[in-house]
Amino acid sequence: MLIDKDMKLAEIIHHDYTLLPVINRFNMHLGVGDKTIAAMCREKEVNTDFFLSIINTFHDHQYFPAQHLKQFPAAMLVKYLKQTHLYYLNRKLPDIETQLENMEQNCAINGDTLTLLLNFFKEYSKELTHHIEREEKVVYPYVLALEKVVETGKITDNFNTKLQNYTITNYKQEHENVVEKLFDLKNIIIKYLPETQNDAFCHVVLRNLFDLERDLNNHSRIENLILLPKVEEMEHLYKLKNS
Amino acid sequence: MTRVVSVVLIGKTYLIKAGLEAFLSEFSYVSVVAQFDGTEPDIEKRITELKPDVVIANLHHDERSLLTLWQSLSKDSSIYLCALSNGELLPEVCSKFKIVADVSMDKMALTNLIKNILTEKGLPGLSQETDNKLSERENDILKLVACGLTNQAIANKLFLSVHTVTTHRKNITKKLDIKTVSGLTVYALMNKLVSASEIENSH
Repeated sequence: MLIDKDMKLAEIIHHDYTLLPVINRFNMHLGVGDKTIAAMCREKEVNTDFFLSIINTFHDHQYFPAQHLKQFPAAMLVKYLKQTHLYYLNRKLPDIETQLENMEQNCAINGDTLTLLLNFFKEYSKELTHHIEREEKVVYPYVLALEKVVETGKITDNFNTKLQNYTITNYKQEHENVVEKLFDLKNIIIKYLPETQNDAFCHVVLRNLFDLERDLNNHSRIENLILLPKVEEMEHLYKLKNS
Repeated sequence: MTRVVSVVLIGKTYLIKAGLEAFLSEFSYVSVVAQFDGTEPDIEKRITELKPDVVIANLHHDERSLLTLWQSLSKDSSIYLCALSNGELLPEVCSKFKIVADVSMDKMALTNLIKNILTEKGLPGLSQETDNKLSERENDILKLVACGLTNQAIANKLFLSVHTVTTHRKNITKKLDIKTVSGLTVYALMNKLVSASEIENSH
């Protein structure tokens, strides 16, 4: 089902509750009443078209309006991506860590398997946090500065040095590993966990790992297929003007 | 090596063909390569060129018009000719098909039918349990990977070429379905192939 602006937000949530965290990223909170998406977006000063593109991308993984998404300003994309970072850092990662600790305490599995898994996750969590910090401190400011320069045509020396030291291509390879480690953790739990009577604790962890993976995939899809090409185009434009 | 069973669908009713295609897509080894409604003048030539493994035709009880097509297709023993029908078929039509199934079959019966065809074609109907135990050599290499050694260091230590080590590592990853070094390390520790102190000491 393709979600459109005249649908009620409450109906959308009934239909696909996994969209809740995504809706939340646009500063929309529960108690949505009978508001349509269009009305809610007006109220929250969110671009309706952008909201719909993102929400549909999450709802239907076959749907990915790449050309359409590219038309939105980089600043809008970055603002959204930063919100998803907050969700990972403040919610998802701490939640999963707590759940892994619960698993360690409650699933009587001999040996140190569960401690190993917990440490593996902590290591992963650290890497993801580092990756996110790099995006926030280096990549996004660069993207925003570039967009401003391309828009206004005003170039500062400061920016010129930035461009010489950094291009977006550097950043392309950094994404892969984040996804692979998460997959490994899931798979070790699914395939190699010693038998336990307390499966429920493991299920909670797994469900959250699947959630996180799905969210991260959508996140990096937007970064790799929308933000990156957009930035490369801007870099190209900039270099044409200044060569 | 995964081989795919290619299937051609023939029938007048769009919905039945679409439904069949959707159903067949649930089998990972099956691919519907073409669909015909039976009225195409060059249908025989086109099907022969496609060299399909299986042809599934949706027939009606008075079907006589395509008799020559069934005749010639049934002569090719490499094609598994299967009919779906909603009633009695004429015996001369029926005899050309390897199997005639009722279109009203439930999902279980239909699944068994497809699995039988796949087995006859020498393919597993569904993914089967495979033996993914690591060989002794692979275990040796996994231990060293867990200790943080590079491929070059492993090659030196075991008197192997780097190329051989790379091949072993690919096989380990494929068998265990674990891609990262940290993941492999956890696996090695869980299965006591290596101890924490060994890893500690190797750094």
